[in-house]
Amino acid sequence: MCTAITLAWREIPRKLIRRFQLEERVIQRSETADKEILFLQRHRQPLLPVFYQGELHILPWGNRQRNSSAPLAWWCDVATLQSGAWAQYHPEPVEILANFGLERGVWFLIREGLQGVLIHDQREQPSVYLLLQPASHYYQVMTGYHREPVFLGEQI
Amino acid sequence: MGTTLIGHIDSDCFYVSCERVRSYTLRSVPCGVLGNQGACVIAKSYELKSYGVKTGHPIWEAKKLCPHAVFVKRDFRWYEVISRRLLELLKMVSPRVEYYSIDEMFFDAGELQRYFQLPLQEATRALQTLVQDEVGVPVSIGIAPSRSLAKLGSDAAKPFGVHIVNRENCEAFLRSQPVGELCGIGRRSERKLQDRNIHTCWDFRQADRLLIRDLLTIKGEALWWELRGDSVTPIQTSRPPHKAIARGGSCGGKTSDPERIRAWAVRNIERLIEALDHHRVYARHISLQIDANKTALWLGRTPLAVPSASFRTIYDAVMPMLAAAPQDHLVSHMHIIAENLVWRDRIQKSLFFEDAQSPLDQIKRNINQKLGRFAIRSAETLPLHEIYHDTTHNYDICDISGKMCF
Repeated sequence: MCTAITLAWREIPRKLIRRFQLEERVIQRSETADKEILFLQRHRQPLLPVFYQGELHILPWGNRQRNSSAPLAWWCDVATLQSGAWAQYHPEPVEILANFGLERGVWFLIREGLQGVLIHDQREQPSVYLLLQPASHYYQVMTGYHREPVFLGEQI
Repeated sequence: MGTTLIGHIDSDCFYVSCERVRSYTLRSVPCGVLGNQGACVIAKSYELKSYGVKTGHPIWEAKKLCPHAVFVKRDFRWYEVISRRLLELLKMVSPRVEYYSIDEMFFDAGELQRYFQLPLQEATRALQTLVQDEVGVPVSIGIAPSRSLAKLGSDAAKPFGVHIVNRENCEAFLRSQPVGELCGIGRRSERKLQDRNIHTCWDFRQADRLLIRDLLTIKGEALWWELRGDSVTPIQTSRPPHKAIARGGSCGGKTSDPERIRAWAVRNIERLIEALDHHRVYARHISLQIDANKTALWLGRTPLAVPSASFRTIYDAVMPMLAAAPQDHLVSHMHIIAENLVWRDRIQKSLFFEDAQSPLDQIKRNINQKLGRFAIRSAETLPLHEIYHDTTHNYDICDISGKMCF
């Protein structure tokens, strides 16, 4: 799985940083390292940076609201998606932009990004779900977890 | 051809620096490169080192020591690309370069001042900047009249420093270096020297030559000369032929399953033939070493009727040895070693034995070169299903041709 991602501060437009108050989520791994913005699944308002329809959006990570028609989850298994179980929600593929991911306390490098799916609920409110697949042997040893995100252009 | 100045260029945290070349976000981040299975740190950045993480630490310990560290999967092919870029750049600056290891090179520094049109110190700094700009990795450089002094200089200059050892600063520098820092002085040799009150490199240099020879053989004496500025070992621009080539390693955990052990043996034979093809040599002897808990348990050796790199011939040599090996222990590691090597273009063809490689070997090699390693492989390796079903579950090795040592 993946419970947090970070994206370099410089990769997010200022207007999005202000609009979503992302200054509160800034972290820096060393004094001279680039600032990053932390997107944590446990945040009160979990968000994800998503490349959708040709531009960067900051969208809700999954759905926690019972009054929404979107699935109450924050990830979706590839096999579930392929089985057609989510077809009623008309999921759209999106790219989640990320530099690093966190799994069970291990931060790992994400070179290009992660695959996600976007769903609009009955009020046309979007939610983005992280797409997951069975973990490779390497990922499982590294993080100790049996599911991994679908990486864009690589296999960890 | 001799030189009065030898340079040693040593990349700082090489694997991490290579990763930083293609991932800008890793700059200044505490970063560890993980080994083949993703469990152990095989290289670390200076930032990660400052948290007490050491090479060989398992990831679950490393993440406790530095919870915000980032871990990266090893990519030996990329490290080789960067290493060769460094080699090519150095060849532009120096008339002779020795490809010592993936991240270390010795070079003739005699032309450095002329190339950069600067005094030696500034020229060395200019080379360091050139490498940083062109290759993207930070390096430390030592310049001295001999290899050992140059290496000692670059080690002392780490990270991202240069050190020129000359007549004026040599004594102070050698006094500051413990004798164990010398390349070639292991723990046992260090203890022997300390028993004789030789603690620093300067003590070593001042010691009686015959005493050093007595204690550390001719290799120790060579170091003694090198510390005095007399270059004993020249820069070697090409690697001497291998005495032996081995392929093997972990069996993916301890096992007593004969099918898996056999499958590992066959996979290692296929890897060995790849290496023999690459180096264009044939083997006259094949050895098999079986390890239990990383300790050699059994070693067998079989002479081949004719020099060969044929799968069938090597298989026929290995399998009886495998059958003869004791089977009451769990096998953890295995190595197949080709010895007594001979260049392919220097053998006498036999009238009575099959060719050193059959047409089938050649077809297999051609297809695998085109479609990827192990695209065609022996069916006997099928019990290693975890390797073939999961591309990340391989046993990649850092094996670069042409370099002098690991």
